[in-house]
Amino acid sequence: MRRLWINIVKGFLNLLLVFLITTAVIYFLARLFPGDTITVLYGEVNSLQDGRRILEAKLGLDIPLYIQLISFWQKILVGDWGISIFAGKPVFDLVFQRYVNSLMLSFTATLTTTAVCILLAYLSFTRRCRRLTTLVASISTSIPAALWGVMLMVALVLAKVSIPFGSIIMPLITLTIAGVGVFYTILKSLIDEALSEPFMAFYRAMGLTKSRLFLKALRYALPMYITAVLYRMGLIIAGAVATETIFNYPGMGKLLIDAFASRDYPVLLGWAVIISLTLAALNITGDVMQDILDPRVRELM
Amino acid sequence: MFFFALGCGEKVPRTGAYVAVGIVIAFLLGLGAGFLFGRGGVTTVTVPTTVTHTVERTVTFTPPILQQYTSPQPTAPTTATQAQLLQNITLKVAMSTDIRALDIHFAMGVADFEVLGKVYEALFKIAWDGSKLAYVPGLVKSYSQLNETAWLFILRNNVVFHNGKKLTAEDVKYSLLRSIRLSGIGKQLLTDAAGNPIITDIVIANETAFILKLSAPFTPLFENLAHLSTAIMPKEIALKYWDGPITSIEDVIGTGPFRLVSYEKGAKVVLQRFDGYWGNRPNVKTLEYLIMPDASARMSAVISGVVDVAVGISPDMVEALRSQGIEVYRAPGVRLVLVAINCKRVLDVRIRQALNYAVNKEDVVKEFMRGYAEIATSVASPTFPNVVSLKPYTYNVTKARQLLEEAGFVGKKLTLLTSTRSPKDIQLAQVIQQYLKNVGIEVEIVQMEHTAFLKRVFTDHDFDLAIYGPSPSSLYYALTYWRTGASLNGPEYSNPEYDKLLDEIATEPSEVKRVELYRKAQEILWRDAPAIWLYFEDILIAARPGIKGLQVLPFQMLIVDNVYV
Amino acid sequence: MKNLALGASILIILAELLLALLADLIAPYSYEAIDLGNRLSPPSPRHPLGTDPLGRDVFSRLIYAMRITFIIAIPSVLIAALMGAAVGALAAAAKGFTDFVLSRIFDVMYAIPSFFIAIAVLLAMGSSVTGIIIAISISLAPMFFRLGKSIARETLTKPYVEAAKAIGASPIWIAFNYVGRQLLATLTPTAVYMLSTAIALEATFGIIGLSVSPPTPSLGNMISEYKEYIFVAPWLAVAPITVIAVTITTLNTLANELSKRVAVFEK
Repeated sequence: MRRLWINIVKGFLNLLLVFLITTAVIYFLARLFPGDTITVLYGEVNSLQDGRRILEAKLGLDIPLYIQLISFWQKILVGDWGISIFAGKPVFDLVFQRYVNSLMLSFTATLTTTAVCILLAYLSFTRRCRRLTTLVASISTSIPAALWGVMLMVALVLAKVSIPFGSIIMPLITLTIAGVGVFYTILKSLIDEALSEPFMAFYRAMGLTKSRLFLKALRYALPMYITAVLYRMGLIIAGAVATETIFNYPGMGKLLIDAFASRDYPVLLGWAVIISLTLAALNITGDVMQDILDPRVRELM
Repeated sequence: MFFFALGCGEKVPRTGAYVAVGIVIAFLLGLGAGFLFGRGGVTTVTVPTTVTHTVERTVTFTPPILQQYTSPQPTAPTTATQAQLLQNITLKVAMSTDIRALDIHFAMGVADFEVLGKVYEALFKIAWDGSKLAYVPGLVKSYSQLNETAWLFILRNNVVFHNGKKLTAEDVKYSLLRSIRLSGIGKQLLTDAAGNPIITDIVIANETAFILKLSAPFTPLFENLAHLSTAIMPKEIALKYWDGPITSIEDVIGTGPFRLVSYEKGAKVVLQRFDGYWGNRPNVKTLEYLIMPDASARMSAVISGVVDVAVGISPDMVEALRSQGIEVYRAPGVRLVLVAINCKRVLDVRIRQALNYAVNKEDVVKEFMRGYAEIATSVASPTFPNVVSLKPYTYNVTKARQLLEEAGFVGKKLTLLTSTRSPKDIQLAQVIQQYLKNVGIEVEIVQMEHTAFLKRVFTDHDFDLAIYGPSPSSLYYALTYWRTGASLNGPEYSNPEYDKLLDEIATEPSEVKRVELYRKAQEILWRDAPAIWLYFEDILIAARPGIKGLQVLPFQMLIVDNVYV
Repeated sequence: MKNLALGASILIILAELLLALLADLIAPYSYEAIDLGNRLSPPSPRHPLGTDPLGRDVFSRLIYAMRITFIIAIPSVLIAALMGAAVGALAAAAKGFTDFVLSRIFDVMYAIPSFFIAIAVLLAMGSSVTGIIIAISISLAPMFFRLGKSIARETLTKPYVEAAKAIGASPIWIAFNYVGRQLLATLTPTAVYMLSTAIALEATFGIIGLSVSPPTPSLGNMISEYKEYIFVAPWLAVAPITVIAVTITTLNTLANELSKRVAVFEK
């Protein structure tokens, strides 16, 4: 029990550390890049006079960088995320709404991908349709996700289907198609590995049915599979930029690109806060899951 | 050790994989073939190529001394009859870029004016009759000149803001002051060469009347007040956001035919018809803008009917869209695409002229733009009043080489900056590179993210050549881009004679003389060539065939006043 | 049958590499020869893959693009895999404080979007092929780190490793013989998959200007340019997509065959 508490405290400190470093790195990088919020606001009209000074003071860009960052951290602590001058709403509302969108996309895409993968793995396990499963995996991995989006779009236009731009459906389908190949390959190699383990021979000798055997193998494959899946979930939450852009889906990826393009520093920082915390949390979850699910690692603890 | 039996340890031949790739390719080819040839009996859709402005008679006028003007007929609707005729259309528009900010005084790009231009109005407005632009009263009902430097304006008395408040002279006063104080363009429009405000005082006579006192006579006053960067907002809002841009959609309050209902950054803007609008109310009840940066996504959306209208159509797409039964509207554009030449680095005017001679504009317009552009014959679009047609720099490699040799500019290298925001600009950069190579100039293309590009060109002036395209609202405004020290003067062009001409234009009362001054200024700029003058891009808009009465302004603004289905 | 698949995939990869290497000899046209009068023409005997929006020969551009893409993608994945997996294995073996520090470093690398990393590299060393390679490998490394760490951790708990330890095998011998081999076998498919990610990243970087500058072609910037023409001139996008699809599938096959061989050898 005490060990658990120590782990939780350690996890929390990890989160804090990653959060601090990530926000700092992102802020400094963003500020180093040529052009700032005021360049964006004035565009071609370069306003050197009072306009710039008034705005710098208003946006708090006239104080040293590190003080800006520290004051940002202070404000985050009391729940003040600032206001986006470009999006017309408080940063927290904006980022949170996009976060929910991306979280949904990430979860559903992971679920559908995993479901398809397990189905394919089962087919392959029972030695049915093996050509089909190989084919599906090959097609899926042959081109990157962003291109799958384009191809899907073209196909739907030719089929005279009205494309639901702005909804979750299209990005979901795209990410599923693009993800199946890799995750099927990972799952299958893990299951093959399981099949060669002595305990499987034992179960087989016990006379378990095919589907029970498959479940046992799946159980063996789970920890590693989850590590890979969590990694990809993190990437989708952080933003599937190309897919979101093409299907006009308001997720974290588009938010980041837009915030960077308009040098919207509060939003960039808001993005960094949520994403660094989420990814660190996912990593910790991955470790914990692996510990819980994998009996061999559990023994060591 | 059998632990390492990883990978797919199966016996299936991997030829399956190649079958898979084959299917992908066949699929793609099939798509293409199906798209290109799969339609039997293509019917050519007759497409309106020019748009005529029918709602209101445009009054082309120039402000003569002590002229008095009263708008012809109050256009206020007789509500009872019109309400019955109104349709409640939802019009969805796919845009290529998002709006920059929610504040009309910070509006800069095409998207900003497209969206916020429907929410806000200025004292004057720009009318379009299909060939020429004109500046006509907007929120102003009548005006008269009191003396050389004072104008009395009387506002329409039936104008209300979206929050229900009546438009008063106070609102105008604080909006104009805010525009001069904060807006980059507003400052450019309403300050003189030395940076002093042209409007020295705004005296409020009564609720709807006010007097503008000027520092000196200023002839382009009305055309500058027609620019939406001087748009009118309620006094409280102007004061609330005195030091920075509007940050809340509740505070986006104008007098226009539409009001802003919701805005999702990077995704969607929704406008709704404002029923208290003083003018003719449009049939469009909800106007939805979807932001779709991907060109093929915009095409898909309009073909599959997800949106009714798509803007930002490139000339290459026109045929494909028409063959799918989509109508493509075309209007001449005011955006002058040019290659700015840094005058501080390329000092010799002969070199700059040589660069102009080196580019074959006929070919660029005919082939690269598929004819959907007009070769520049002056420094501003011929749709503006007073623009003259000048002697073009005809493609002439020998002459270009000769000029370069005279100037001793042989075997030199130049960098050409482009913004990654526009794929067309990057392609154009490569075309320019090729042409300049033919006259012996090595060009290195540097692509930059848009904001970094703006900073490098307009703030740091750190470039040799740069591709961009200004869209001015009037000839005078276009000319001020090139004034010494002007903020839009990226290439740092400076010619005292030219600056003096601009001042003379602003104060010259006689119209005949002014036309002559305008001609002179254009000639000087054209001759001094601070840029390779290329072409005016046509505005191309794709619309579903069911949408009728759509009109397009040369600023790439959609006019939905007469849209019906 | 097995040898056929292996041989065929090696042949295809070699052919592609050869095409890329000998681009100057094979390409019928220069990759930058613009011909405005001949824009977007469909495939013909003169231009086997048609011409692009500036009238340049797509076939010639494609060959040069393959060269640039290989130059960028292969080293960046190799660097990422070596760096990530080796450090991951080290973290798994060392445990404790070292593991903590290394893990946090990679956590931060993972949390920072790849295009931000690209920007940082761009600022540090200008837009060059080396810069792009470094940026891509930094973006890919955390994935290899996580996988490498968990594979190494798992391998170290295996009974045969315990056995080896018991009979006094040196840690280095264990690292190479057991952990290294396991990493190689498991990570090869991932590395191959990451090649396509590297190609996609290269295209993404092109959008913010961190790409080979035009008119130099790369598969990434060709695709991002040509996909705008998918309704107008579909054959344009087909060519680079086909090359990517064939390359990735071949690499997949190769990886599979190779990992099988590693397994057989082990037995």
